[in-house]
Amino acid sequence: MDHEEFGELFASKAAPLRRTAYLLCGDWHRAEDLVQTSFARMYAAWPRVRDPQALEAYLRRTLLHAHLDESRRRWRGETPTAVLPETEAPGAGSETEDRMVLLAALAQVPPRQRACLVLRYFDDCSVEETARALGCSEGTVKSNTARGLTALRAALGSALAGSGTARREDWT
Amino acid sequence: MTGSTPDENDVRHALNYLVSEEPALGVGVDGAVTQGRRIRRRHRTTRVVLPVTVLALVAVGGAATLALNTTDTTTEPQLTVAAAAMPLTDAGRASIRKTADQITTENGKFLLKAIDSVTPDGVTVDLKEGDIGVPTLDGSVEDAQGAGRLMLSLTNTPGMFTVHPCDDSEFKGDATCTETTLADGSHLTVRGLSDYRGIKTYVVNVTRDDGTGVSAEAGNFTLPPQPKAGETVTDKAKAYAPGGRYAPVVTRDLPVYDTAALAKMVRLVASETSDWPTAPYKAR
Repeated sequence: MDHEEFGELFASKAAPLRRTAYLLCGDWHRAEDLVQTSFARMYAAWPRVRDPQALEAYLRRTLLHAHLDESRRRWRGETPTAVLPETEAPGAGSETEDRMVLLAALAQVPPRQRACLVLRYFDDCSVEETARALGCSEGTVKSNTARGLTALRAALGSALAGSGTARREDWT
Repeated sequence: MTGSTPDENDVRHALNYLVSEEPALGVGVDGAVTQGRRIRRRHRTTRVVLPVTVLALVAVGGAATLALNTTDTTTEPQLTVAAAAMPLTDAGRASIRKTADQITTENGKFLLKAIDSVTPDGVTVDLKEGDIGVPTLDGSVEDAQGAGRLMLSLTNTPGMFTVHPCDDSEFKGDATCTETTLADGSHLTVRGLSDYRGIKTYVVNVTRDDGTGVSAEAGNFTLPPQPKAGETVTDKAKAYAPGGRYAPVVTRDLPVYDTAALAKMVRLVASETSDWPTAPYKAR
């Protein structure tokens, strides 16, 4: 595995990984930081990489750990701020409002449950792959996914009651 | 979709919808390579030479020894905490009382009680309640060798802690990391001394399978006042780099507490809170 291959990996995986990171943290800038951290750790481990098939799983696992650890390591780097969706100018349209409602609902789901939802329903990971990425049992993934769905329902329910937006037909 | 109750397909649609419009990628491979090289250098220069199977660590301020039998993961570790060689003064008790006066939550009281039980007289404690995603007591402790940092966290919200942190290479770094399954099925994780540019820490956790648990970290440094919530930090790299405005300041050779004291601390809290009902997550 040489430097050129690392560059190719970055070119092909950085954007999809940033989408996953965004869904985990709800902020594009933080998502980019997480992606850079994941690739940096991958680069540090690069000389030891033997199985190219495992690269994506390694990147995903690193991203998850970096994200989940971030809240417990606030003093190490980032400024603590309330998690608020980015806003646009008034009149920017209902799509922006829909996204804000969805992001706010996702923010109500505990981090590991949210990670299960993102891995299972966005990255299309199997229960086994999700368990490996999160370092937990498959049973924990199943229960966290179920709890995450329940939490999302509750959060989305109260958000919808307040806004009247975010219908599914608008999400496609 | 029926009303406001999304099924699995709704969640798929919602997640894809959220990322259907994205800004241009603002990071490049060069930044990752530079940061990756830094990590490589760090790993080379901070390699811990302690053998994995021996966790006999002697702290400067005390003489506590932790002996862990890791050959049988169902066997509880045998803890032997020797009396610490600390000067006996009233200052320590007074500081505990002062800290207790500032603590208002049930979580905070349990955490302080555990700290109190393993803290010798003569060690002054200045801790405050905080929330870094989970309720925490955080601050400095000081013995005859100087001040150090202590952070003790407790959560009964499922999913907040990594259940098996030794599997996380970034958490483990080059330090020793041992997980032992306790009699109640929870997991005691002891991460030995990690040394990053002179900042040394021990971390000990008790985690349950649902991601609840207790975590303690002791360091050989103190932290200057950190930025307030919402405050913008310009030039973060400089502000948090060694010598920067918000960077940790190394104040002693080793943390005040060693892994034995931290293990006793977290196990006390874990056993006293094991029957607490789980609490839902609250976004901050």
